[in-house]
Amino acid sequence: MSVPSDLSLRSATAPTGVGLGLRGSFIAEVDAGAADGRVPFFEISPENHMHRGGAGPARLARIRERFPVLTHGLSMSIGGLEPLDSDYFATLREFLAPFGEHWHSDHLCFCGVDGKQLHDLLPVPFTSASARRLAARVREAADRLERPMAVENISYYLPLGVPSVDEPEFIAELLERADCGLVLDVNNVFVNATNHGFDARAWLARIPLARVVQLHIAGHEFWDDVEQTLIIDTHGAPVRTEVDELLAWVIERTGPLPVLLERDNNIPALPELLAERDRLQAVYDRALARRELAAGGQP
Amino acid sequence: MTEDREGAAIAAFAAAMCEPDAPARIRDDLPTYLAEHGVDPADREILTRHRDQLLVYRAMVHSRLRGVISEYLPRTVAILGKPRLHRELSAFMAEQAPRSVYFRCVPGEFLAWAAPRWRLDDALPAHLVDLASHELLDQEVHDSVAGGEAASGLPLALDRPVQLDGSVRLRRYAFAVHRNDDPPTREPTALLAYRDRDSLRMRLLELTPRAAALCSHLFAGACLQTALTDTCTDCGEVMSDEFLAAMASFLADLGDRGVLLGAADSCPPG
Repeated sequence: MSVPSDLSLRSATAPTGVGLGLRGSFIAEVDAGAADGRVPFFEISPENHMHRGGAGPARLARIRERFPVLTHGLSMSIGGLEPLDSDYFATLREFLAPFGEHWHSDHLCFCGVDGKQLHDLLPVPFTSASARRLAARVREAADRLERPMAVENISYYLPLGVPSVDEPEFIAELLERADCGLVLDVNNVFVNATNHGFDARAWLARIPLARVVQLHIAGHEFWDDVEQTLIIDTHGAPVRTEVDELLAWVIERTGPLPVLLERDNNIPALPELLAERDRLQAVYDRALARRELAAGGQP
Repeated sequence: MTEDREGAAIAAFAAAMCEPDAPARIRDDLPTYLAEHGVDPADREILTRHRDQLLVYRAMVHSRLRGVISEYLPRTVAILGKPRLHRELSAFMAEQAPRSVYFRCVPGEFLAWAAPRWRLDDALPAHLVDLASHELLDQEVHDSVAGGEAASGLPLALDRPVQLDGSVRLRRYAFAVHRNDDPPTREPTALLAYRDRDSLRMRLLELTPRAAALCSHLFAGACLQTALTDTCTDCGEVMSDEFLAAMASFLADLGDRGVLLGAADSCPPG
């Protein structure tokens, strides 16, 4: 499989190490310098900042001057049935302009139908037809945004119809057809493996890791604390050690990448979040050291 | 799976998130529900095996939307109560659902849909719509893309409209919901809200009836002369020295606050 040259270029200039999702609950602290020297990059969801005035734009510009900022969208609805939203794309393209030439990413999901926005990451069918359709939309998105696109594997809690391929095959076909990058969410892999009963490492072994431009990592919670039959990707808890291990497994094989610690619910105080970032950075660093050793180099 | 078949599955899934009777129908007879939505028989079978997860999705979607509404409208939601909010959101999803791609717009969309219903509902406090509107005002002013514009550089002139800061909003309520009294006093209230240029926070001015009337006309683009004349008419006043002095003082205050930016550089048509 060929590695798209533009993605290789972006990866070479992209930040590496464990970064944080920039959230409203602590953005003022980051602006004031509380994360200086502690975080290699931040990631934002443009939808939280687009069409928004007040203190936000200047604050984000100041943060952008001090940190690399990657962008990860929520509302593109790559799996949606309607044409891509022209107003949304025009605004997004303009918004992304100051963020350098990094890829922009969004999720392999649909967000609504018939103009209704459900504001969640909803599953798409795992079929070749679906992979072709979504790949065409990803290519269109990249054209509209005039920058490379990457897509993220989501947590899904049911198969939306009879799959003709499994998820790794679906993702691989889509990546190849769209010629795009993958934001590999290892917590989503763990959640899906647990809920659907497959082996997470075997799943990862079938993913074209050369397409991975970034990792996401997060915590999850049980839907029902009593029955504990379904875990949900809530981004509302610390990252579990099983997910650490998947992160390390990938990094040992890919080498340095930006890894995003996502926290969207039950967000702790920034020092606690930075401490978790430090812990994950140690996991990441150890994985890179093992990679160096395996390559015969010095750790 | 053809694209038509895939589309049917996606559309049925979305319907299950929105239709008010979906949970009961999913629990009672999911295959029939899916068949009525055009889902292929083989897809019905696999989805039926995941009935509980489909209900989980619906609960997650609704919970997330209720969460953002509760975040932006905390006092309103406290009055509504959880059961009523559940019913309201369910009806909102069935009749309209969010349309904006911006999650933060959900509370405003919800309120725009709910307000006409709530006004007619005797079981709800009469001040609820005013309260909800006021709770959203802070976000609207703070997030306004417009605002902070430079002064026009033109002195106020009777034959010209005025230029205002883009963040300014005029609100009229039947209750003084801005005072945080519980319950709010029934009292006709006019507020001018704007984003302070230094703190970038919302500031409120409680307006007299004549100041509110003048703002209404100026916001509508009237020339200053016309706005003053129409304000007198609205308030049943004559254009006395006292009236003019009071309005001049009010406009000067707006200027000091960075709300009034001088005369507009264009006259209204005609």
